[in-house]
Amino acid sequence: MINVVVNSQDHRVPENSNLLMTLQLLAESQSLDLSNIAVALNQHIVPKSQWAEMLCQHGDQIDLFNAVAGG
Amino acid sequence: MLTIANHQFSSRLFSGTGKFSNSDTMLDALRASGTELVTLAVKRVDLKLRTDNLMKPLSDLGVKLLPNTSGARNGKEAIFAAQLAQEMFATNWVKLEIHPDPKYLMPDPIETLIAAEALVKLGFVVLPYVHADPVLCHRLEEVGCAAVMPLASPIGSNQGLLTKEFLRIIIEQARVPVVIDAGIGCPSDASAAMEMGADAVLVNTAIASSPQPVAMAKCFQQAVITGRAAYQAGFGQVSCQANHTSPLTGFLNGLS
Repeated sequence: MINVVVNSQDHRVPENSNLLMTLQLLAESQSLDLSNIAVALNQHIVPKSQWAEMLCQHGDQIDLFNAVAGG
Repeated sequence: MLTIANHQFSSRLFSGTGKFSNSDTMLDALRASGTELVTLAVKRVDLKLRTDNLMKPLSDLGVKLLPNTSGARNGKEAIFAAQLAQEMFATNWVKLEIHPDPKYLMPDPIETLIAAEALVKLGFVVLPYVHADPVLCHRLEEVGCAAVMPLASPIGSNQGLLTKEFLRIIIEQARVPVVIDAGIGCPSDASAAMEMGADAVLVNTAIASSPQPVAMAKCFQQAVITGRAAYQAGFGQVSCQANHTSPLTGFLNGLS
């Protein structure tokens, strides 16, 4: 298992997990809807089409963003 | 019809989605307003909270989404927020807003100009929220912004058109659409902005903070339509002296 930091929270994920697998794990364990979110890996935005290609490394910082009401 | 960056709008009332007591009221109010462009913000997901997915009902409503960069304190953060929004909303439209000061939420003109130029080069359709500064609006137009969005008064303050005379100059000089944003407090403010020749207004707090948001949204819709129609009809001359509207023939002289 490796440790990744998602929105400032530590999470354990299996080694060789890609970003998509990590997000799917989070969606199952947390209240996270994967539709319409944007993801930054180590402060670089990763388009949804590339989630499955990005291998997670120990210590990776993953930031998730969604749409909220605003003016 | 109003055209911004090749997109046509039949409604000149843009609306925000913030501050409504719940999603249903927001959606009902947006529907009543007839708006075709609504703003949304981007935020870090709170993994402990289940949040409503706003996108689905708004898509169902058929409105175009305009993500904002609220929360950005400088140009770099705003560009990042715009890119996140592009990924999330699948749109290259962005309402660029950079306000580092939390008390008055005054937009930072220097960071806004820098970020606007960079975002235009990245292919974004940029609608910058700015103070009612005609020179800045001109500079933003020069770097390729699709519209300018000068403020009427501080965000969410409902104070109305405090910057009216400067808005007038901006409207006179602009070659891109002018959307009066922020501080519009009541339908007569919106109507006055449209009468001045504004291309559109963006209203959020005045609708959302009304005890009856749906009824107020309808009032804003009517005010914007009426204000625009009055602008197109044209106004009579203003004069300091009275000009009689009935014949003064003195026909009652000599009756007493």
